[in-house]
Amino acid sequence: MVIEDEELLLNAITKKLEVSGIKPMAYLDADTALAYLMDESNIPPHAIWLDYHLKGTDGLEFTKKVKESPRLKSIPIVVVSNSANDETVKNVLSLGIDKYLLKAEHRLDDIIKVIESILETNK
Amino acid sequence: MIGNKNLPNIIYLLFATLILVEAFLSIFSLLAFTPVITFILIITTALTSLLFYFFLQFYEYLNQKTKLTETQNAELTNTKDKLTKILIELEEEKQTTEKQKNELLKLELAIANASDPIVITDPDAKIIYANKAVEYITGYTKSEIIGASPALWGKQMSKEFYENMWYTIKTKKNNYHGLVTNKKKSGTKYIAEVHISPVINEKGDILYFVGIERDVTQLKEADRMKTEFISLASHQLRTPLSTMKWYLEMLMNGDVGKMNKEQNDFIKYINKANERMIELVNSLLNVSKIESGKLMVDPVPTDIVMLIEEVVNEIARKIEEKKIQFSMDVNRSVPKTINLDPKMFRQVVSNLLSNSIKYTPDYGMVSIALYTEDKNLVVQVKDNGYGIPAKDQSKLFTKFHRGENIAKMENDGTGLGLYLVKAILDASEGKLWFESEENKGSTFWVSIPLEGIKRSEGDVTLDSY
Repeated sequence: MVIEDEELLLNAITKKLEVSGIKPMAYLDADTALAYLMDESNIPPHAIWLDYHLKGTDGLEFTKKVKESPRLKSIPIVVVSNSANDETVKNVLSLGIDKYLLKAEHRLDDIIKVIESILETNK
Repeated sequence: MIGNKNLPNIIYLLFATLILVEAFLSIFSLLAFTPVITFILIITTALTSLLFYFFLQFYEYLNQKTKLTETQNAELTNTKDKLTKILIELEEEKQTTEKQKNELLKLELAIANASDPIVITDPDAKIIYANKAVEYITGYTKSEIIGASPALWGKQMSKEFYENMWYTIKTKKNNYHGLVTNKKKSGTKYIAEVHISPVINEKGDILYFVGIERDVTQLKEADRMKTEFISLASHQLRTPLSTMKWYLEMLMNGDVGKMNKEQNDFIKYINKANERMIELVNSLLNVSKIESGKLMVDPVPTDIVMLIEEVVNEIARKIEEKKIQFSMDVNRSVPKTINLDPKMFRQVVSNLLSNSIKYTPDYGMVSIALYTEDKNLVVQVKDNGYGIPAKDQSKLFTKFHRGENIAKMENDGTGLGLYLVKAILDASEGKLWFESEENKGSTFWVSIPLEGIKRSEGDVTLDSY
């Protein structure tokens, strides 16, 4: 599941995931993504690629809600953002996300590798 | 003067002569059978002797009197001297007291008119003195303040906050320094930097608490705005750069179809320019963070070898591209972990290694070595690249400096890397030095104490996630 409010970036991420053989679920905002996740009839994703600064519910709120749900809390979350505020990072890391990566610092390939290695570890 | 002296000899001689003459005449008249004259002479002799005796006694009496008078005089003089001394001391004391009074007055005026609120309380926090600034800042009048406690304009923080403050100053009898939110009489809240010191006597009893406040609301607001601006700028600048980075990556990977050679090359050039832009934005943001506040140092036990290996992995692609012969050597003496701020140290190593690779031609040599020396951990980064000309060496750690020799060959540099490295090491008890020769290469050394780096309070941290 990819949650990213910049459409161009969301398209790039989903394209790359498809090319890498991963089926993405793309969302432009956290509220729609949460609605999907909270519906128990839906299959939860294997991992979540989350932007921090989102319109509406932000990445922090989204993470809190996911971690509060016993059904969803074990889904690894990787925050991929361009926000460099230390407070931001601390807040979201303390909720138990798996990794925080700066977009501009990492290739798509590398981010996918990080997610794959987290999934390997969690198996 | 009579005093302690005996009668002058002439008097003794006179009286002796008189008595002898009278005695002699008595004897002579006795022999001359003139009983009346003899009787008269005997009486005269006796009278003269008596007179002499009384005269001696009287003289002795006068002697005694004189001695007493002299003693009394000496005592009077002594007393006078003592009194004079006392008067002088009193005068000096009066002058000292005047001086002290003036000093105290000066001190009182300084405290009374200081721009920072100053409060003195008794050991139970009852206010006994407050300067004008307390009234001005809090809005309460002196009559409302004296006798009350500083809680009059406090009570905005958590219970634990005040418990900790009280514990520090009253139980541990230490100075307290911190930031507190207070509330004026008007209801407006403000942020104050407070220093509270207990005043303790020789027995260790607290006599007073002295509290000094400084209204830092505007300062904190400016800091917050700066941080917010930096955060916003970082996000806004990086978003289009990330977009370009990822689309270019997919183009170069052939994820959306193959390109011809020229198309590939053009894309590579655009990518390179984009990477430069990203690096510049990162460096500028870090520089503005450093300049906006004090760098926070947050040391934790860090596996330094693993940290360096991670950095090496990140730049592995560049090493491969330029066919650099890279080597890493770790001496056995290097400890498994060392207390340092991993974020900051990562920046240092990353900057030094990427500089070495950037400023070494293809097929050149870059090495990194870790060892210990004199209770320090030393990291050495060495290359056989372009080197730093002697005339540029003194400006090496200044902002935006780039050596003329490399600026001509390599456009790809911000001139901020070493400035950042130096700023980081300055904030964390580390040392940085180098040796270099143009066209022969450069060696940079970083040393940090083996016992680790101390934590340092600050307002900013660098980007590195």
